[in-house]
Amino acid sequence: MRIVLADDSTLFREALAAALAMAGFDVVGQASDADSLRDVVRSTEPDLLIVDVRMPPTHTTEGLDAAVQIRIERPSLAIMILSQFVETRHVLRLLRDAPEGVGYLLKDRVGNLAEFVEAVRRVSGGGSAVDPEVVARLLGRARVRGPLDELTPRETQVLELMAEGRSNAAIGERLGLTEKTIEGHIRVILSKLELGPEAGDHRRVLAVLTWLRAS
Amino acid sequence: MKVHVPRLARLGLLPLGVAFALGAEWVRLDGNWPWIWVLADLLPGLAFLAAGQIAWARRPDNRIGPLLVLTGFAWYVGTYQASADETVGRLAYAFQGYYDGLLAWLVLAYPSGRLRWRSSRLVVGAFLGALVARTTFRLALYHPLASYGDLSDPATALRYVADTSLRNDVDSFFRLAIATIAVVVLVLVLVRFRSETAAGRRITGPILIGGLAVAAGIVAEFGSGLLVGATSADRLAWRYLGEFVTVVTATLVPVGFLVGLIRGRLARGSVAELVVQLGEAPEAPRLREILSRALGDPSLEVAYVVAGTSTYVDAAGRPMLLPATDSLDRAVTRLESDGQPLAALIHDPAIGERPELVTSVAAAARLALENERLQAAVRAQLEDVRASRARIVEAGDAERRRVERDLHDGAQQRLVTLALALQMARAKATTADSSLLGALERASAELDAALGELRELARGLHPAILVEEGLAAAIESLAERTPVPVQLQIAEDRLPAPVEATAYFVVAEALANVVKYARATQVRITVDHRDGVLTVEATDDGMGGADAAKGSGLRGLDDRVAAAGGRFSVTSPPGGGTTLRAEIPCG
Repeated sequence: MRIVLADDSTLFREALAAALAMAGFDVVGQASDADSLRDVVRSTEPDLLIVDVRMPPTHTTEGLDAAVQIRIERPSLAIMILSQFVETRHVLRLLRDAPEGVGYLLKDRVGNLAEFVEAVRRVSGGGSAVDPEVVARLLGRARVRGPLDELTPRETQVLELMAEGRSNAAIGERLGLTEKTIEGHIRVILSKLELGPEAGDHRRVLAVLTWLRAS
Repeated sequence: MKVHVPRLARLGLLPLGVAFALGAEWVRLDGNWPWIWVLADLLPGLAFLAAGQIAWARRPDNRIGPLLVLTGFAWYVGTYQASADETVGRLAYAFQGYYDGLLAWLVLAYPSGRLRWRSSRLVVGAFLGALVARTTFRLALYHPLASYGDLSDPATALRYVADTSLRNDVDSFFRLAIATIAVVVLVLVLVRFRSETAAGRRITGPILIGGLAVAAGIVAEFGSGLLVGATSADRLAWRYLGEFVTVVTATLVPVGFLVGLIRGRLARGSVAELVVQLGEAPEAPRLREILSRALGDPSLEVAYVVAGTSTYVDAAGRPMLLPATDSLDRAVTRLESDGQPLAALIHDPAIGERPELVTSVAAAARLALENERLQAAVRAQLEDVRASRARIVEAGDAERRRVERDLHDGAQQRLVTLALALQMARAKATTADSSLLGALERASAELDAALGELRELARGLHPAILVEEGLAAAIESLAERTPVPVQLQIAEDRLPAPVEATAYFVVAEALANVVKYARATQVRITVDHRDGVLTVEATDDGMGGADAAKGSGLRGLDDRVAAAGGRFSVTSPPGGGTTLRAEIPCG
């Protein structure tokens, strides 16, 4: 798989490139700002982009904006956004603008290489990866009594993993349950939250996150 | 030229005048005039003498007083012509008519006592010149009948007839000349009155009566002397009409002048009112209005001195040029305080002719203006302090953002890279002993925790999302992290960064307090932006009892909101929940 990295820190880029290469990925290009990122993408035709949200010159959301822009031109390109902090708004904006093949993780997650590589694979396969902290924060958010209180602890676990963008198979593997059991749990969860059955994992993620944010 | 007449001499003129008047009317009574004519002749002169004394006493610097007195004396001169005493009669005949000249002078010089226009100086000069010339001729040409000797002598009779005829011709000439000058005076009076401002007319109204008196004099002159071909009965009728109008108007002139004086006194009443109004410390536009009313001058302007300079500005701070000191249209009264120029009143010159009114108004206004100036200075200082507080807060915010960015681009970035390196090391160490693997795992976990703490630290300094996405997103993010249900109602529009930062820190402190002390089950945050003011309100249902004077956090917020020019309040009755409210102007 061909990957392009964009981050203004050379040190970080080199370290991540080395780690990805070790995991069997092909890092075909690197960029240190949004403009050069566009050029690199054009010349290398990658399958996946890993981009830091903040980049020069203003160090606000250039990375995120550039990635979304590039995705509009190349809908098949998967993007993984890394950030020093996670904001629900950023996730929802991303999932809304580019629902398939999108990841949004805390930068710290590269420190768990196995998990990170798994998320990269998921995203490049058209799935989603939402940082657990975003999900945990939305789920753990204090709210007056509502449908979430109806969920069993197991269903809550499933909801959490589902919201992170994992497939039914992956959730089943993580919890030591069969995919069929997970499907059953998910049907119950969606009906308890009064959400319709959604086709595709990524749509499910957006629906669940939107529900969590609104409630 | 200022003539100083001792007070005693001035007062002495009063009995002298009355004696002169009575003497004149005694001549009439002696000549068997009807008593009504005697009385009619007596009144106007006395009115002039009395009004003159009053005016003179009140305005020793103004020539109107002495002029009135002199006119009073002149009124009676003509009456002495009928005196049995030959010399007195002759002198009276020669000096008759000065009343008209002095009246013209009075009318044109009122109210300042000065002949301000060149035309009026010329006319009065011509009038008096003509009178002096006539006096000279009359003294030279008039010889008492007795001095001719025997009139039965044809030569003597002829000389007498020739003298009389010459005298009549010269008299007719002067009569025409004087009547012409009187017409010019009348025209000047009317022109002057038309050109007056409203303020001026209040004062110069009496000169219209004076003008009427002059006109009556003309009618009398023409009616008696110059009606060619008129019968003697006609002439007599004209003469009586002229006399009657003359007596009435001549009495009214000094009365009119007295009314002018009484108006001056009323104006002093308005000064008392002015002092009361000024005591209410009016703002600059209202001050101008009050002074304008007190002086009866709608065109009044107030020019303020810029402290420490000699520049004048209006109430709005726009530069003003004072009119030239010799300007006929505008007069300037300068106000000083401790020898320093304070302000200037620019007003109608007619008001300057009532100096004591302007002085009283200026004295009353000085206090208010001084007050206004001090207040302006205090306001300016307050504004300086407020601006510097706002700058300090903004500099603090900027510094926080800088530190946050430094943490992000520096320490955090390096730690993440380090975490990655640790992972690589661990991957390469799969074959090594388990204690090394364990150590690497622990190091990774420590690093994770450190990164988490650093992230929270950076967020607490200045959340990036506040700059990136605005107040609503930042508060939403705060609410997500708060372990108490938070209801949000927030306007999404972006506002200036200092306003957003202030509002954000109000909400952050409110939520932190709720978590720490309030034992609340719910918090409601509303952020409303209307009419240029951002209103932030955080209400919880907790135990209340928060005191802005004690908690350093709340006091800090109070300072912060005040620095932004806003208002901050805490309502927290024990057991009744807590409401923080901040109103921040949006610039």
